[in-house]
Amino acid sequence: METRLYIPPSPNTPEVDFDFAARRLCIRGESYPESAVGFYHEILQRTRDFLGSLEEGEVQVIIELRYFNSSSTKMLFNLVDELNAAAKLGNQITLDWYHDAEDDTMLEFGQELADDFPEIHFRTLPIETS
Amino acid sequence: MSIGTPADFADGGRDGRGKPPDLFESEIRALETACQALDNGNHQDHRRALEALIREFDRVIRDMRRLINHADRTERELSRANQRLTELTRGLAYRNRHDGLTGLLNRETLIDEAEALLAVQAMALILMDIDHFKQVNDRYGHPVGDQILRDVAGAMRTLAPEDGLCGRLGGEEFAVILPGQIAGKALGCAGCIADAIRAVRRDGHPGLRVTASFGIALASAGTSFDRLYICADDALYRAKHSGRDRIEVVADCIRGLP
Repeated sequence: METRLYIPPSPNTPEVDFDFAARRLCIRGESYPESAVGFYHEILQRTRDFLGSLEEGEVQVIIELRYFNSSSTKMLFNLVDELNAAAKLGNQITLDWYHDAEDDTMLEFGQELADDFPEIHFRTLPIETS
Repeated sequence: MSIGTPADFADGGRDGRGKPPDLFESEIRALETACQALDNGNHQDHRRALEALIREFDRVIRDMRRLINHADRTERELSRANQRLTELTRGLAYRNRHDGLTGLLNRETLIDEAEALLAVQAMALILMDIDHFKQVNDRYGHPVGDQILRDVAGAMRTLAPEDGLCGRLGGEEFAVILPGQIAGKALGCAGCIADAIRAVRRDGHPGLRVTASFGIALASAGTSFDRLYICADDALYRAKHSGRDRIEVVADCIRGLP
């Protein structure tokens, strides 16, 4: 299995840097691809494979999205579901949810995820913009 | 018993023929598994299948709730952004038509309005120039000069007839356009503004006095605005060269000038 999945950012897709060897998965930017299913399919598949190979491992997930459309939202749920399933199996999953300090919408979304998936160690982290 | 296949209801569902996977791929997979168990299994399998369905249903409800909440928040945000955009557009439209210092119509807008009016209707053009304004700026400073310009604009706005339009053409030059070729009305308007300008005072500058010179021209409908402007400017020139603080009139643009 390749130890890293890197997708550079584009105007409507985020930068994806999943360093499976370092157990560090980052998504940054904006997400409104023409086909969210197409864009996230490999990301989800590779994540599923990676999580399946873990045994009581520690994984750090960083999500720093400024905007995502509805289809991307559903794909994020699927990703968090996979992480949640891995957490239930005894893995330590930390999810850092970065949001613009002024953006209550993103903060509330992160808080909802934290409420729904208590087995993932969620942190909502504001980014101060000048 | 057959309850069908959930993929039948999916948008571009997984059919193994190279179509992209569905947005609800994992849910569909779970439902397919449960449906097969219900179709083929015994009582124990039925129970497990129903439990799986309930878990999926519960998860989908949670997903939907979050999704709808997020969509609602995004819509509110979008609505607020639209409102801000509308306000900005309105502000830009205003700034595009008005002089930033005085709030009167700017040169381009006033000329556009005058040309449109003169095409269909007789019109009077009052040109006004503050006398010795450079000396006001030099002696009292530009902030005082700017305040004088705002005072003059305020007087014009207050004293011009309701159907008139006031503008700042640039520097210390202003204009009023009035519908109708009525010299008395234009003279009355200019006279009131001249009086108001003479009465302008600034705190801390007791010696400050301001006057203005006026050139008025009148023209019938269909006259070119350029012609009217030349006539009014000629009248203003005469007012300046006859000692300032006065009003000169060209009653008919067609016959008023060579």
